[in-house]
Amino acid sequence: MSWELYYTSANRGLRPHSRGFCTVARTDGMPSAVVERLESLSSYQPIYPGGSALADRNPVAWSHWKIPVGSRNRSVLSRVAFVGSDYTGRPSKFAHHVLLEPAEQAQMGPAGMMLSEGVMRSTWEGEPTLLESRPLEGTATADPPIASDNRAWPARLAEAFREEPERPAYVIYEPQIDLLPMLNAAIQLLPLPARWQVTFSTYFTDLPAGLNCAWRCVVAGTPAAAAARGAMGFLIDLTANSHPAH
Amino acid sequence: MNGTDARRTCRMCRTELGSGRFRTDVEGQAWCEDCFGDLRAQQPADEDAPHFRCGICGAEHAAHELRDLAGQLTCESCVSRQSSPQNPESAKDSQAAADTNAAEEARQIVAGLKGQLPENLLSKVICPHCWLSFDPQEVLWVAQHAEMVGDPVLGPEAAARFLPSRFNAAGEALDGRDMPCQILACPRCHLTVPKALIETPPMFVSLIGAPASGKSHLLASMTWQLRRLLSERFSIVFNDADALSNLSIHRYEETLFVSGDADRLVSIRKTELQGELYDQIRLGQQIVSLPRPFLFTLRPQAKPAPKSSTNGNSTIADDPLRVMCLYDNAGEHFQPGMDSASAPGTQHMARSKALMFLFDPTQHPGFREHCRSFSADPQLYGSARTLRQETILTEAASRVRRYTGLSPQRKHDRPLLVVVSKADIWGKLLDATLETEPLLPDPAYPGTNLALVDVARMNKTSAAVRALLMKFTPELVAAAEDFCRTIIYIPASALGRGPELQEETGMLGIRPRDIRPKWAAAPILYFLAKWGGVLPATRPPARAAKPAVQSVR
Repeated sequence: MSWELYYTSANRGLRPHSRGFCTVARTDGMPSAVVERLESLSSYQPIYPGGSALADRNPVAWSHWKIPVGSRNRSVLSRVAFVGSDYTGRPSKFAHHVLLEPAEQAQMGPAGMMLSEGVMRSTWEGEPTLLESRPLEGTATADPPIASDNRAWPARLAEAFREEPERPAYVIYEPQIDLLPMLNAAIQLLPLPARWQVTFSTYFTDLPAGLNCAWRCVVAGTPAAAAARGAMGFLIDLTANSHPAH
Repeated sequence: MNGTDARRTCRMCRTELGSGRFRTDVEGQAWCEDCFGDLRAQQPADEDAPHFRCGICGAEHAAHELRDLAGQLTCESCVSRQSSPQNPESAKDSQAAADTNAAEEARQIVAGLKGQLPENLLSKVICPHCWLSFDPQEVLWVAQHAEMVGDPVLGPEAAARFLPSRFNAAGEALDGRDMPCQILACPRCHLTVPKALIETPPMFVSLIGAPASGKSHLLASMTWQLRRLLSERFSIVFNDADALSNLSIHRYEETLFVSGDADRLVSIRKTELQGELYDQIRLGQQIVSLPRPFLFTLRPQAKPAPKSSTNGNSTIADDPLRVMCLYDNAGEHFQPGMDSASAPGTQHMARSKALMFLFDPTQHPGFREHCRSFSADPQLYGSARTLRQETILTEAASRVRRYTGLSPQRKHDRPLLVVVSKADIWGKLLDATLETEPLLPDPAYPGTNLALVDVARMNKTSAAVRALLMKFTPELVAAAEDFCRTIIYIPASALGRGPELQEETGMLGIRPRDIRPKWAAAPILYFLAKWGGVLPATRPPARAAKPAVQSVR
């Protein structure tokens, strides 16, 4: 069964004496090392400050990570996003992490599973609580429409992964674009065994220690985008209105 | 050292390159030496032939346009700039001077090999990231060549760290591709260590406080004020020791004090427990998150001649450079149970020359209730903002005892500065004014702007603040005085007024034009004057009797 963890800024957290950024809910029985690791994946840097008219356009960080649990690597689906003000009147974020059993990994791949109804949550309300394990299934949903400008590059991304899976690929984009459907389209072009090998983040800022990230979507104008341009990786710059730069 | 080499293959022949030598084109593709040689032989190159960067100027060129100088690809213009002197006579002179310098340097290096450490180096260096104390000869260097990547502690994409065996005449270590390196790193956490720390012991100052107590706002106002005050009033330049490390505090300062639109509501976002304020490293199988230090240098400048001087010239600044190290921990780090092997983010408290505890009266039920009778500050309203802050201080005390091995029978011998924040709200309860900074003209320098820290006034204010805290929160005073031998209570307001509530978002913000910090820099001024030996201070009046607890009441 999967393990889940919800992390945000709250007046009271699940751990005794905790408040502020803390875990507010998690699956009962989750080892503390896994809790710490998932909490460490909850970083979020808003592009637009809280309170600005553009704050709602802050990108959602949809990520697929593989973290070591015991002797195996296990897939973690993460959704981290800006969520307005917290109990102190300051901008906050909400992170939802789902750590899957291999048997729960749907054939559609990680992006498709995150797009499936009921898998990822975008808010948390209520008292801190321990959760029961719940079965998770990726359910095929109608593919979100993809703008014509964005139909070609997922194929290039998939091709790059097939050729050199170890080489990171960068996608530079403007924050108003939701890249998850495009990454899902790219993953659908991969053979079934490769789909869960793709790690990615739709809002990549920094590589967490000890992890890989094959597809790194970076927002134009950020330090991560500048680093992407100088990195030794496959680069797709959606802001230049041109497909693969090299 | 090169973690990515193992899986790299030559773009042309697909040979696995392993740890062998290779070249990387501007697209990041690797070329083995043989294929690169073939490529260079193509003159003129194909139109779509790959380009490579000059290792000196970074310009892109076809392979045949680059020369191999000591393993580094160099374009013709950089080669000619380095090798063709404009004036043969001056070139001869400069060559002779360079030879003399090199010989002298060689003599010094040889002498250094047999003798003591150079006088300018510390015998032990303390890493500001992981607080390891290490010998200066153990310091690692950070490789500069773009191909020298991969580090066992920082990951496969970080620049390689190495213990050098080769140096150039300028004393810079040479990496595996002969690139001169300038950046140093800690032998344990591999994070960068500014060179100033190899020569000057840092003054660690820890800022402790509950979530939402205003630590980041105070730090931003404090450093902004110090940049101005120390230069204008003490002839000391307060500057960044490492601009990259201080990037977050720059952003804080820019948000509050250098905003493009002074009428727009702004706020510093809540400090996270992950992300840009932290570095994640890998020690064995353990992932460890370390807080990024804010490092500042204090460089004394020449002062005007003192009153007693007869020649009227400026005095020479012979005081040494000092380095101060501050941290902006999230308040959550100080909560009980949050100190773990994977997040040892508060261990700087054990190294600190002084501890600053930020007490937020708006989170104390009694204080808060009382202030509501005369203040409409939005921080006083809403039900979810109260917290027992003495538990944070008690937890800090127990961690310091644990890290330092301090007996429960004894008190910590480092000073504790209890900074009572948001004084713009509650300051009227105090029989003291905060309208002027605690500075007095320095009588040794009449007619100048130079100042003394008014320690006497701060001590008097401390007594008044303590009396107020005893009335509303005696448990906090008890926790402080149970922990440290020396305590001072300092009022401060980072912004000088309360924030405004933005109705549509429910967020609090302040307009930069309204910001007028009050005593935001006072805790550091007091510390530097009283215990840092950096700033001049007024002499406290002689005391009749020594109090049982040396808190400044």
